[in-house]
Amino acid sequence: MKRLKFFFFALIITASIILNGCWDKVEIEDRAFVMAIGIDLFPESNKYVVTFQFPNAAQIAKGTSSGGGGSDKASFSVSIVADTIFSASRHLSTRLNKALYLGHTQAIILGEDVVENKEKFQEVLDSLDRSYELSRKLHLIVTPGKAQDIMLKDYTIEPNIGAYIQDVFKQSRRTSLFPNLDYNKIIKSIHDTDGNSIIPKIISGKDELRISGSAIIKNYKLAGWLDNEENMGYMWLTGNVKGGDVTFEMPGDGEDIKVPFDIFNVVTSKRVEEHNGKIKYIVKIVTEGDITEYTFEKHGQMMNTKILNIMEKKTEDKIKMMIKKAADKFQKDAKVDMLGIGDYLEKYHPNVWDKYKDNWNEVFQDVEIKAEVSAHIRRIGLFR
Amino acid sequence: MINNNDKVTANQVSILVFNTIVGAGILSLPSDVSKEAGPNGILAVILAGFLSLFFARFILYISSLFPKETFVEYSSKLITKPISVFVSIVFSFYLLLFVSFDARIFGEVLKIYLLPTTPIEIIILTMLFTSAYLVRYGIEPIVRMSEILFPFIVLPLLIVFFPAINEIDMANFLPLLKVEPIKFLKGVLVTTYSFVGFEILYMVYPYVKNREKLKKGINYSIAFVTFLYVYIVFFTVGIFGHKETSEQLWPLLMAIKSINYPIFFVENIEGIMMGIWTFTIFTSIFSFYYFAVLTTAKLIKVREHSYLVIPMIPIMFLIAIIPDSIASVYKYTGLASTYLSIFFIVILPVILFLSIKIRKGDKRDNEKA
Repeated sequence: MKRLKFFFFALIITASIILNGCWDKVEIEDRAFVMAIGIDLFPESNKYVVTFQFPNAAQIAKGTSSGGGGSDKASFSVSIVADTIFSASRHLSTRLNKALYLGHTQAIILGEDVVENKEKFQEVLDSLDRSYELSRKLHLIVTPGKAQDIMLKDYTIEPNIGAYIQDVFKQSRRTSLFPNLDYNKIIKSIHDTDGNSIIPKIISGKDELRISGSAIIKNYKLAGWLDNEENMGYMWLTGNVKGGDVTFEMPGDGEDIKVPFDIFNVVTSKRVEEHNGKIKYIVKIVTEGDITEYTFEKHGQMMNTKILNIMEKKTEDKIKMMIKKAADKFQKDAKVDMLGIGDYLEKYHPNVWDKYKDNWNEVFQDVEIKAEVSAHIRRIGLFR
Repeated sequence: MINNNDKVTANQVSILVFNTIVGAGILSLPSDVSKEAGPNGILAVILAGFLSLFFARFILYISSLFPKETFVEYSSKLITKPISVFVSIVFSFYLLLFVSFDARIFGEVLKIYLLPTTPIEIIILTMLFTSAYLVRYGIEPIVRMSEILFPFIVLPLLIVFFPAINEIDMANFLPLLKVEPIKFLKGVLVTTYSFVGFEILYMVYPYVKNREKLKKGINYSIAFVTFLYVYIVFFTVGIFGHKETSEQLWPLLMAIKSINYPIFFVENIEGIMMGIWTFTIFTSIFSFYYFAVLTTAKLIKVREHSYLVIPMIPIMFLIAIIPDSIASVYKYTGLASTYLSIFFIVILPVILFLSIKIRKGDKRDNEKA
């Protein structure tokens, strides 16, 4: 009996020694769950300025009740100068009492100087690609200016920049003013075309962020910016428009009336024709939508199908204009095929592609891009 | 000497073959085939599946001519004793090699995703000792373990890709058959590492109860392996395109990482998948391990294979920790699976078959004389 007791006692002691799993735990408020990262170059030296932003976990845990220690700020931003992105995240622990964790990063903002420097941009991309922690679903964005300026600001709408950007991206289909590309798609494009891609653009206003337009990356280097209209033209050409509005002008009594066409459905199909060395790329777009505004002076006219036909025609012209602008931008300014024409040829017309693939960049500039648009107005709102 | 407890059914062996084949290879298979066969990786996998099926049935046919004997015993009748002993030693070492590589890759992946501060030696040793515990008890517990783990291996792998179905771009598989034939065949060759495992048929035949069903079972199991591989390559290449897939180390994990799970509150699901993948590796390791031990036991004619289980651990452990880095691990697995596997899967069955034919011819001549 006594021996049995001793045995049990020994068992409990051994178990409590060998079976405790929490010896290296980190409490949740001692972790910094990074939500957004900003990357800039440090002027006149071969270094990066990396800014990390993470929410104040103690503040979240505390909820609305006051009291307890810690700062009341909802999130913190810290900048550090370092040789590489990885060493930035490590060296930060000399200045921070929390353990950085990058697995929840939602957004990475690149400063303009990073994308203008080919070597540095490739280093950054590789660092993101190799990382075990970073998610493939995060959003990579470029800002014309310093990423640090965006990261260090306080935004009243949503202090957590990562979540803010994430939510803005969720609404991409409402406007089609910026491409809804996450890191996964950008890096796929860069791998597929050896360094060409489109990256959404971010700018900061007084109290808020704004994502609109995009940057053209050619051969790992910034080759130009797309403004809102060009960006929408690019999205029409690649079949990415899912919603948004097209505004055209109708003649009024005095001034022209601006009329919005609210897109709710788009069907895109592509084909390629080749006539004696000249490639013709034809995009056929069929779109449906509503007219949501007109004017009081024209009350009663909207039930007239003739007016609607004119409006449909004007919508088509406007879409064609956007496409023209975007195509010119890519063919004449940036001189890079981000419209997926080469990709389309390679996959569907491999024999044609074999003829042109060696000097595709030159051939692309002479490709005739033709848009066949047909717009259909389905509804006119609640007034005749 | 096979006692009655060591008898298994044909269905169980089929599941064991499936579990042995599906191992560490699934992580890197899409990038290996994409690198060589480009957008036609799926076709390369399908062709490799048919070839595997053919050679698996070939090995099975040769084994079925000697229903009471394993490879070690019948090969000495066919290719003379000294050569047979040598080939058996190499065969045993070859199986050990795969235990080591699987254990090493398992350790590397686990260290990265789940246990960053645990030394890799501990991860490998834990895996080896767990397998040793199972292997000691012989073939019946092994096939039972395979049966139990089978649904846990297959179902999550099939389900995890469902949310990605609208992210698939079918154009990623175009153009069809525009790849050079040599590159395509190379693409078939690099899948060998993912398809090895059916060599256990050299050894397992005498332990099967209803042998007449084994042919059908092997057909099913290799067909299902091929289906699973095609499924994985379809989704990874469908999501990434072949150019990006070919540049990744473990495209399967990367694909799982980049899928959006709309209904789940969990964001990074690769940790969960790692846990499930552990079963996949475990089934491969214990199967290779058992047959390596069995081959050695038959070779030195010990009555119980279990004496040899523990002494094998240091050998496997040392092989597993020899490669310096993950890059050299894949270099060695590539070498082993191109040269050794081709020998055991393709060349050896042909040699055995020819020598059977020659012996038969001799016999007939003798009878005539």
